[in-house]
Amino acid sequence: MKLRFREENGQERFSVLVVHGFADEKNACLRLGAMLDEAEPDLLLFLGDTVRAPGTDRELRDALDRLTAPASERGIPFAFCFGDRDLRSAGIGSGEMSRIWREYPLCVSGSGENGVDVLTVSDAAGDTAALRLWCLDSHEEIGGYEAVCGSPTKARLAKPLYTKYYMDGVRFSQTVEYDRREEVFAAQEGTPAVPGVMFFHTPCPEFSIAVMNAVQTMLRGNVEGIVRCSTVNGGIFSAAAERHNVKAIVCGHDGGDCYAARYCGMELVKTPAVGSTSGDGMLLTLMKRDSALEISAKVITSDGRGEHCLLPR
Amino acid sequence: MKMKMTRLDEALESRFALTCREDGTFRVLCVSDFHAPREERWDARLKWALEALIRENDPDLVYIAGDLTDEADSMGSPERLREYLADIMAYCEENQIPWAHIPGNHDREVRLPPEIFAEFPHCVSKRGEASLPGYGTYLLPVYKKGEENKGPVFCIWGFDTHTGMGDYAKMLELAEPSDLYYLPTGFDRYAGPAFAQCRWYWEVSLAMEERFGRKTPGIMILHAPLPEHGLIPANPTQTGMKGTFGEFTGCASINTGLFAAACERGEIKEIVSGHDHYNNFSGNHMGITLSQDASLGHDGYGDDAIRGGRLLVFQHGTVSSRHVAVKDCCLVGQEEMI
Repeated sequence: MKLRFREENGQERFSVLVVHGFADEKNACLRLGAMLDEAEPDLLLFLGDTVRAPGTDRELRDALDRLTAPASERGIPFAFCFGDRDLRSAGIGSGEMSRIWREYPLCVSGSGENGVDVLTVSDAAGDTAALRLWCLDSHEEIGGYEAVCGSPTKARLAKPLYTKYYMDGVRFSQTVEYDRREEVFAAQEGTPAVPGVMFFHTPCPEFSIAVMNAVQTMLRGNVEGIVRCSTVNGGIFSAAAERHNVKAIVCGHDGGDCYAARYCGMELVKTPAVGSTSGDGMLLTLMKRDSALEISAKVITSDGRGEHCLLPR
Repeated sequence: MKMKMTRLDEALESRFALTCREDGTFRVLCVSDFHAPREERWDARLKWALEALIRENDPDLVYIAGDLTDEADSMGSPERLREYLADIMAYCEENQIPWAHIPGNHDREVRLPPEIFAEFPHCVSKRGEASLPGYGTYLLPVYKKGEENKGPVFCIWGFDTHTGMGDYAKMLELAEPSDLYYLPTGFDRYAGPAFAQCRWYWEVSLAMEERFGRKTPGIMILHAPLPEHGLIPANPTQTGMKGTFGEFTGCASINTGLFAAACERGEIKEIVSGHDHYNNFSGNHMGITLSQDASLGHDGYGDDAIRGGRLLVFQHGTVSSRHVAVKDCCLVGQEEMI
């Protein structure tokens, strides 16, 4: 299925409804349907912690049948990133989970080779790549990272940088994979590079830096506590910044946190978990203005609490 | 037909091959922060201190980890730079001891042109790949004698950490203050290696493993410390910190992932930095020793109690290291000057 901008009132726009953290599945399905009706997005993105630790293929399929039904019934394509709780203690591996997700006809996610998936959105005419949505796996807790590095327990310090939690995150190997693919696109398409938005579940440490400097980063929204970001910095923020074309990094994980902050020319957007105190999801609308891309971010609620606009400021 | 040189081929090029001793060891003396002044004659104690450290520690390579000069235009002419290097590196040149350098935040290429360093027969510094930001990001491979064709047994990776966040902001095409790049994160406004440099390390390291069928142990040397260096004094017990923490760790504001790259590759034993003259600590985080050497020169601020460098000894696939102080050296005929 090809994703493309749609033309409305002479303007091209593409909207993504971002949801994560389905603690109460039955309630979440109802909320999801309500949000899809209200937002009418071009894509629904499940940003992790969608099906908590499925024990078997059957368990995952049953849960996905229910959770993707609101999108399927409305003909809305969807994509996914894994969250730490999808994977932790799960009875099936992430490769198998990914394969099952992609069996759904409206799922537009790719195989996510090396932990990096990219969805290309074309312009309204369908001729040219106009936007790239980068979906990266941010893994589980730091134990998985320690195992990869052959350094068990050593990452757990009394005072890690920027956080007090011990999460894995986007790893350096994925950052290189992202950068290589950008390089290939640049060689094929020339300049200016196609703008992008990056999605992963567990925030990178720069989210914490942005929160620590809320005034300077013009942070807007709700911060409930310490950012549960990755313990080790895999460099994804700097790689994106050095490429110049990623306009926003969108993360989930911290339930009620819901904000947008500007740092190094990029928007760091934290979306609320479904059913959290801040809202149920976030609608990102990307509008083409000549070669530039404008972003609006709106918190969506499904129970009449109203909307809250974070971007533009 | 001329074959296209790969990134690995270019990285492995050396002026001459550095080789281990018969017993398989290779000793690196890492020193930094000379801060030769703009106009006056540099303090003569630098030369004697460096010589004392070399005599005492018998290195196979002397590595200057940046801030050879105090200001970008300190060496106002090629002649002055030539005279400076000829003076301070005389002991290395006379005794055929290889030496190398990377730039610090006070050094810039325009005033420290690689061709002048190349005039010194025992200098093995490289400019590094032209496509990388800055200059002086390069690999020095060390071989087992007589087995150069089997690939290096030890790698010394040097990185330019640029002048500060202003450099990095220019690269990101950011304009202060609307596109914030410097934030009071608890760190200083210094820069680290750019992501492109980290990726260079990753790719060369991977290519080397592919070509030679094994990982090659190594060390990394930078001028400005990585943000992870700050973890050591913040967690002295957990990291087994040793040495002096005399001033705030002036590391990069932006973390470009070099530490993560080193962790994931699993071959780097130590990451050494200079920059903070009052620090000579070391500690271990995730299996990698993170250390800072204290300043050696007398033209910048410093502390005679710790003035010195760091000796890193490679043997049997591992690296041991320790701070070496000038005050502990046997200073033949130089006691009064030092």
